[in-house]
Formats: sequence, structure tokens, C-alpha cells
Amino acid sequence: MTALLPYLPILIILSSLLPGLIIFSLKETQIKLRTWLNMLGVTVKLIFVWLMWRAVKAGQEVTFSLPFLPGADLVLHGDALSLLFVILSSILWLATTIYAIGYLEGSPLRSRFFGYFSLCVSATVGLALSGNLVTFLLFYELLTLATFPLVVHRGTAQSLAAAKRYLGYTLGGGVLLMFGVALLHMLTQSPDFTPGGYLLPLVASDRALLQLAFVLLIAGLGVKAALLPLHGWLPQAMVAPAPVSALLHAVAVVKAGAFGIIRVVYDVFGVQSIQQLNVATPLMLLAALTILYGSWRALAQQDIKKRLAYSTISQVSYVTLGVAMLGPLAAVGALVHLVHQGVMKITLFFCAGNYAETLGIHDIRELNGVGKRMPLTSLAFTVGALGMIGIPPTAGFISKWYLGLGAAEVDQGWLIGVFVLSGLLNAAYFLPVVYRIWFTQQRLPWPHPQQLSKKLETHWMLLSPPLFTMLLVLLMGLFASTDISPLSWSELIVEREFSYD
Amino acid sequence: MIDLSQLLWPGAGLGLTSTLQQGWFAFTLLLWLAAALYSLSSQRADRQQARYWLFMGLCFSGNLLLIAAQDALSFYLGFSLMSLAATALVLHTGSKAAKRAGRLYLQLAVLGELLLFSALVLRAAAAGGQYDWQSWQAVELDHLTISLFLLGLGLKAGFFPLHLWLPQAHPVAPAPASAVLSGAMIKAGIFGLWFFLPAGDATLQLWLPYLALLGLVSAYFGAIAALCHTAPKTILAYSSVSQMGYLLLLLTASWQLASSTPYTVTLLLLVAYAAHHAFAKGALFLLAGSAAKYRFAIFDKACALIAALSMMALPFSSGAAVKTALKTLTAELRLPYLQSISWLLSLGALLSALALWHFLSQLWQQQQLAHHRVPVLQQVAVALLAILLILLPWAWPLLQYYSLHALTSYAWLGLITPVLLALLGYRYLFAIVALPLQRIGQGSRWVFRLSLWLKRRYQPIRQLTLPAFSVNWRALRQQGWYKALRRFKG
Repeated sequence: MTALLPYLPILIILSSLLPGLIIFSLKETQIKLRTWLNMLGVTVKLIFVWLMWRAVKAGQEVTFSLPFLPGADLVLHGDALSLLFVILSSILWLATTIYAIGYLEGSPLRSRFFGYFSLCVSATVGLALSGNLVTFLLFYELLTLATFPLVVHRGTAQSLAAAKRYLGYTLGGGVLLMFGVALLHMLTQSPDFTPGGYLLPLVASDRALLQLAFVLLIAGLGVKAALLPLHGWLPQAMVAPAPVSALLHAVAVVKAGAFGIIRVVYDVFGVQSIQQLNVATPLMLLAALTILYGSWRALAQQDIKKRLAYSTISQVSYVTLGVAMLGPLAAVGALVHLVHQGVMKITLFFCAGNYAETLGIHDIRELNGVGKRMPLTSLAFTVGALGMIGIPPTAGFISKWYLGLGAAEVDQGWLIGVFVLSGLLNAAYFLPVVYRIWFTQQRLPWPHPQQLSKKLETHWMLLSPPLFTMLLVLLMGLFASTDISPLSWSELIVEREFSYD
Repeated sequence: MIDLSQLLWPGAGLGLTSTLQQGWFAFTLLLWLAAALYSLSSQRADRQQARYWLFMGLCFSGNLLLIAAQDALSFYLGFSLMSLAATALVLHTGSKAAKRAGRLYLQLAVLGELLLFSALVLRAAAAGGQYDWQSWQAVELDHLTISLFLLGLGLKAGFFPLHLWLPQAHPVAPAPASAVLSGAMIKAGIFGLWFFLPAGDATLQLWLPYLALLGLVSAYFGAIAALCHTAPKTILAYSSVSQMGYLLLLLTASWQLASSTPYTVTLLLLVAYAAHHAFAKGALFLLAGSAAKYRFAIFDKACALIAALSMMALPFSSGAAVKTALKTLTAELRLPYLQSISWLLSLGALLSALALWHFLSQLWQQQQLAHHRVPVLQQVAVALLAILLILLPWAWPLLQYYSLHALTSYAWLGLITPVLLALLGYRYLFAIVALPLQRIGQGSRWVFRLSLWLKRRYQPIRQLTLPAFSVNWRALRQQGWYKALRRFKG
């Protein structure tokens, strides 16, 4: 076991990369082999992740490095923070893979789809495990390239337009990020991420340059995290197939941006230098504005997935806001929301996909009385929606609670007002949907009903993932104090990140 | 006490550790039992029976959980479970009125919930990350937190001016649901105020005169508004607004006296008042439900009279005991602008009695259309509450004292005069003012207009958005900037 330990980071990446590459070479008809390869990859990855989790929990650090650039090796590093994101993406990859197999049954170009799908997950995991900024940048760009074919997958004019916009935004963001990384590299090379940051010695001498670098980095990451003026691609990209939007919104792209912001703030700059550079307040304002703006725009959306997309814009900024507050409790809230939002949003997207695939429902006004036809899916949707509003005992409550405590801790009481207002807006655009689902009668026939299963309301591969994630939402919210909950893991991270001095 | 802090969240625990919690738990449980019994009969022909029982069950568990909570988050969990599940009960019949009332209820419930959330966050932050009740007792309050608690919990308790949803939601819900809504669930607001606001706090003491005044205003307002309506359940709902005012007054008095009189005694009186109101109002709501469909036998009429007279505080009844207790406790209370509270309470009793006579008269009038007898199960449920109501002042040693005190000649007269005056006044004078009052009552529809206006704001079809442009690079070279910029349609 211990001999394996240093190689774990690369093994975790390879466990999805290799099956992905093999899948590219498969014929369309080799469905069984493809499914087996996918499932094998998921299982192996989960085992490796579990091994690493044990090691990191015991206090070991796992590092793997290759020579890459002068002054910047290709470093893969497993610490508590990276593992939070790795576990999230591995578990949700499992759910999404099953979902995607069921969703795309019988549709063309599946080898291409699953190939890029695996690549996308490898890039996400790589990004999580990156040990320095250069490695992070590499995987960040790789993620852009791996997700583009997924967004464009349907090949319709609409998805082409969306993908073009997506590529424009993300490549632009990538360039900004690259400038930021290059600037920092010029100043101090690219050492490994360290709790507390490594830029403190430079604050006095290169104040303006560091501020510029921070702006560049945040702007580059903000594109993926959908911060306010850079969010335009996200509502468009929802034309992608449901499993892709699910993964995009919950883990892969949006979260990559948010995770990057966490890394930059805590492990590159560090709380102390951020405070001295006076850059946290603008970021905090921007995130608060994004939270309210996203929720406000979601109100008017009549397309289910589009409403969910605007809701993502708002919810991901909770993470950014929590980070920008720079307090330990707010950090716990931000980290735990990274996980909670992912699981809740993926549940909602799975459900939206189920409605679309089983009954052909895309518009919220068509949902009347769907609770009777698809009770389990609707239950999962309801739990996800309540989670988004932050009603206990869902996971969303726990993250909002810690974010609120964090705001009070750093004396920014007005931010609690932002959370309350956003909660009200969330209720305003989710509860009417829940009302339609359960309390209204079906008026028109379903747009495109399909009989996907004899006994269940829909195909079991479509039904089990949302139920699984719904269960996670409830368990994470209810058993928040247990050792294996995301909350205790986030507390562990914060303990390690904030106790550097 | 069950300690769940290793499992759920720091400080999580359940248990009935104080006398107030024990008493509150007991009467809530009994009321729910009666309502469940009644539902067995009243919902038998209901096509949505499963949904009814599901949400009744959720409300029930939420209600008991919040009483047994030992920490803020468990309370909040129970509170939101109960609040949200009750929406389904208000909506249950699916009529247009139910939908309107359900929307209003949900809007205010979510608002109250989030206000309570922010109050809890502020409090937890002040307590340094402790969530359990014990440690919150020692932490000082500030004005913002107190107002947030009052607004958040007040929206549930429904005292004036936060009562808006109450008279709309109660009449449309099924009768047993309104019985528990009014008897048990809205009391969660008062319970929460006791739970979260430590009695001895200096800042809270500054609020007390104004809270007492608010309680009195609410008591008056509810009773007068009840006279402006004719539907029996609406009258009862407004009477609840009035009674919640008295409960607030009693809570204020117990906070005021926390340093002098033993706190537990005043708290027990609070429980007694809440229990008295729960049983009486529960029975009246159930009876109002039966009256709409069935013809009353002598037995049903007797039960209605017992419950109503008890609410009017006739000597020997539980109402007399709790009203005497209220009078004794509030004698020390200092109100702004007002010297003595005693005659105000007498006037309030007169108004309350008027409202209840009005209710009985409307109930009798409704009877003219019905033919069938009331089912036995419904009678049993009502009888259970009536018996509890009769036993309450005599079986409980604490209340016995006040019951006997109420029988001294002076107190006896003081109690019976408003009841008789109200009866005479209602019999001979009400006809003159009935029509103008009803016209005033119709004015309360502005609430729905507000709710609808709000709904249109948060469910817009179109929104103002900034125009987004995309650049046509090919056109840029040939035709210049103006033509190259295309309006982007998202």
C-alpha cells in the first residue's frame, strides 16, 4: 500500500483517462464493452480515492511531480482541499455515468460522447489535484477543450451557437488566467500551493503587480465560475444533453472556477496578503451582486433548465462570497457549499432531464400534475429545490447556516440580508414549480410521452441517480456532525488552512 | 435528554427538560389526538386522503419536534417542517379561496422562516458558535435580534399586525386542520419567543411595555374584527388573533416578573392559558366543521356552549382561572401612556364575549340547512376536548387556586358582568351595526390584492434586461461598427 501512495494522484487521473481513450477507439455498436469500461473506470477511481482519503485523513500528504517548465514542475498533490473536490467529482461521476448511459440509449455518436465525458472528468480531477498554478492552468485549459464537444454534442444550430459562445468565453478566460499565472511566475516562480499563500513577502514591494495578478486570476476563473459580467455562456450552454448540463453545473466547469478561486485566495495569496492588498471587498460585492442578479433573472425563465442555469449562477457565487469573507467559519460554509450545491444541483438537473426524456416536458408550464405521473422524480426535485432555498434538514441549510455565521463573524451583517433575500428569491422561483408539480391537475396531454419502463415511472438508469443524490442531500444535511460528512471534512480543511502560523 | 450532537450538529439534543416544555408538549399532543380522531370521520370521503394524512403527519412531527428541541437548529427544523407542511393543509380543498389563502400563507411563512433564520444566525454568532438553549440564556440580546425574532415568530403566532394570513387560511383548511393550526401550530410562535428570548435580559426589558401594548391592541383588534365577519371559522380565526394577543401579554408579564415572582409559576400559567385556548378553540373549530354539514343534537350544542363560555371566562370554567391569573400577573405591568391595565382587560373580556356570542349565533344560523346527525366519531373528538376543558381548572393544583380565587364575590361579578352585558348587547344592539361592520370586513380583501401583486412581481413573464450584443467580424471590415454589432437574442 505505502509503495502505491506517491503514485495515487496520477493513478486517479489515469483511471478515467485511459478508459476514455480506449472508448474513443470503440465502434458505436460495442455497447457492452463501453459500459464495462466506464464502470470499471469509476470503480477503480473510487478505490484509489478511498485509499488517498485514508492517507490524507491520517495527516499524510501525497505528492507526485514531473519536470515540466523551468521553475514549475508538473505537480500533483493530494491534500484535504483537493480531496474534497476529488471525492465530489468521483461520486457524482458515478451517478452521471449511469444516468448518461440510460439517457443516451439508442442515440448516435455515443463513443465520442463517453470518450469526452471521461476526459472531462480526468481534467476535473487533475485540476483538483494540481499542486501549483502552472499545473492548474494546464488542466483548466484541458477542461475547456474536453467540455466543448459535449456542449456541441447534439449538433443542432442552437447547440453550435451555444458552444461557440462557450468557447469564446472560456478561452478568453483561459488567456486572462494565463497572463495572471505568468505574471506571478515572473515575480516568484510557481512554488507549490501552501496554506497561507506564498506571496506575503512580495506585498510590500510589488503591491500594484500583485493586485493586477489577482484581478487577472479572478477574471479568468470568474468566467467558469460565472461571476457577474462573465456569466453569459452558462444559460446558453444548457442546450447540452441533460447529463452534460448536470455535470457542467454541479462539478466540472462551474465548480472548477469556484475551486480555483478558493485555491488562489487561500493557497496562492493567503488571507493575510489579500487583506493587505485590499482586494477582498470588491470580490465580495461582486459575488453578492451575482447572487442576487442570478436569482432575479431565474424568476422570469420559463424553461426548466434555463431557470436552473440562472440558479447556478447565483448559488456558485455563495462559494465565492464565502471565500471573499476571509473568515474561518465563512470558509467552512464556502467549502461545504461547493459540495452541497453540486449534489443538489445535479439532482435538479437529473430530474429536469427525466421530465424531458420521459414526457417531453421542457417548459415549467407543462409540469402541471406531473407529481402523479412521476412521483419519485418529483420527490427528488422537491428535495433539491428545498435544499436550494436552504430549508432544513437538507444540505443547503447547513451551508447557508455556516455562511451566515461567517458573515456575522467578520462583522458583515448585511451579507445575512443578502442570504435572506436570495433565499426569498429562491423560494419564489422554486416553490411555484413544486406547487405545479404536486397541487395542480394535468390540463394538456404530455408533449412526448415515452414508455421507458414497464413497472417504474421511467428507465431505472434515469431514476436511480436522482434518488441517490437526493438521499445524499438529506443525509449530508441531517448527519452533518458525523465524521464522514462534508461538513466535518470542510472543518478539517479550514483547520489546516488557517493554522499555518 | 437525548444528546444528538455527535450525529446531527453541535449541541443537537431533544428532551422535555423544563416544566413549560412538558406542559406544552402534553396539551399539543392531546389536541392532535382529538384532531386525528375527528379526521378519521371527516376525511373519510376525501379523495386526497393519503395526501391529507401525510401532511398532517409532517405537521405533527414538526410541531412536537420544535417543542422538544433543546437547541436552536432542532427548533428551526421542526418549525420549518411544520410551517411548510401546513401549506398543503391550507391548499387541501383545492378551491379558489384555498389557493389564494395558500399562496398568502406560503409567502408569509417563507418570509417568517428566513427572518427567523437571520435572527438565529445573529444569535449563534453572539453565542460564539454554541447552539444549545442553555448557553443562549446567558448571552445578551440586541435590538436587531429581538425585532427579527418578533417578526419571524410573530408571523407564525399571528398577533396584530402580523395576523394577515390567519383569517384567510383557517376558514379554507379542513376543520381538524384549522383546529390544530389555531390550537397548536400558531402557538409555536409564542413558544419560540419564550425559547429564544432570555427573560432576564436588560435589552428585552426595554421592549416589554411596548410588547404588552401590542398584545392588548391585538386582543382588541381580533375581537372587533371578528364582529365584522359572518363565516363561523373566520370569526374563530379573528378570535385566535385576539387570544394570541393575550398570550403575548402573559408572556410579557412573565418576563417582567422573572426577577420577583418564581419564573416557573408564571410560565406554568402561560402553559395553562395556551392549553385552555388550544382545547376551547380546537373544540370550536371542530364544531364549526360539523355544523357546516350536519344538524346539531343537544349534546353538540352543549359542547359548543361549554367551549364558548369557557372562552368567555365564565366562573367555574378554565377561562375564568386563566383570566384571573392574567389579571393578577399583569397588575404590575407598566404600559406606556396607560396607568392601569385592569379596566382594559375587562373591556377586552367584553369584546371577546361579544365575538363569541356572534360566533354562536352564526353557527346556529348555519344549522338551518343541515339534516343529518353529527357522526359519533366527530362527537367523541369534540367531547374529549370538552372534558379536558372542564377538568383543566380543577385537576391542576396550580389552576385550582385561581379557580377558587375567581369565585370570591368581587371577582365573580367582574367575570360574569362582561358575559351578560355582551349577551344583552349582542341580542338588542348588534342588528344596528351589523351591516356597517360587515362592510368594513369586506375591506380586508386588500390582503389578496397585495399577495397577487407580489406574485406577479416574482413570477414575471418578461424582465427588463440589458441588451447583449455580438460582433459580426466580417461585417466589421466592410460596413463599420454600427452595422457589425448585432443584438444578441438569448
